[in-house]
Amino acid sequence: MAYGMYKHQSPEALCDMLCVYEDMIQHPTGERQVPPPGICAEYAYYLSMPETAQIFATTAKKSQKSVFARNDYASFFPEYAKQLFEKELTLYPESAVFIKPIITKLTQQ
Amino acid sequence: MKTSKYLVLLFAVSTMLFHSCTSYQSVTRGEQYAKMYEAKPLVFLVMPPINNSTNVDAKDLLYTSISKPLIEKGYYVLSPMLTMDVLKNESAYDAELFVNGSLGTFKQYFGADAVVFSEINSWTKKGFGIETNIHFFIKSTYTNEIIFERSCDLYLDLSVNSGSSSGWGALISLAASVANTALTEHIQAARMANEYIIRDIPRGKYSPEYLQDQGISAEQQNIKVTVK
Repeated sequence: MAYGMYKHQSPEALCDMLCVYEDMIQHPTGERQVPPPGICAEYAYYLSMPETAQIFATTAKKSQKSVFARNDYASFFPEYAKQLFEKELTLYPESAVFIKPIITKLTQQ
Repeated sequence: MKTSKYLVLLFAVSTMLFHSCTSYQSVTRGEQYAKMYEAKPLVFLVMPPINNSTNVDAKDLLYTSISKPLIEKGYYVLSPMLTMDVLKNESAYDAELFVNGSLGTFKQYFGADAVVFSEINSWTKKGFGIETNIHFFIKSTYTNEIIFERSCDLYLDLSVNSGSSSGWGALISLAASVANTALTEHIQAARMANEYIIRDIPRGKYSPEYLQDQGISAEQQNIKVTVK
């Protein structure tokens, strides 16, 4: 569904979504004060899509772009995606069976 | 004076009705969900719902809102966004294919301890609200047994808006808007039915109540509720 959603998502909604994910990662709530299960992985998945960087660069508002420290999105987003998948693994080791093959695939690209 | 007596009586009757619908004093969670406590699942994979309703969008709309309440109860839920891609690629998108079969594959390829199935039996607009009937059952990937099961008849009265403003709520709404922005009210009904069904589930590993809630009174397995 991620790809299906991604394909049908408007560029503006995708930018909104990335910013919501980033906020959840940067300002986690709850008793454990960590991002909820699956959020780092889902966010990483969106960032790893080849078109995401281009869409964000051309569509995001200035305020949305200021959320990220770097603006070389084409190289930053895939790197950040890998870090986020690793973060999911660290926070939730039980995700390894599913997440590790995705990281391997990303590394080979 | 007479009016106040009636109000007191009405309040007492309402309270009794509310408790009769939601509380099930004689059975504890430990008794009602014994298999769940025995299995101690941590990782859930949510299958796309089985849609027996006439609402063609119901399947995708419900799917986007199942994870949140399970995560809040302390479970690790594999992201439906990611798993659905894999399931579609493997032609395994239909839960009907697995509901009575072996679930070992989900353990092997996803690391799931249990698979969450849901059936939408009705999901229609009725009067000023939306009427839903949703049935949930969770099956162990080790034994293929049902370890948790509940259903909910919910009527959402739309005269009052009850949306969520949290990050989670925003994400679910964004996901829903892809399918059809006109169906956000249906998503609201789905979220509420999910909340009612899942609120009684034994708490998972990431909850402070993990393995400490067996003595709590369980709610009825099949619930009927009207919410605003």
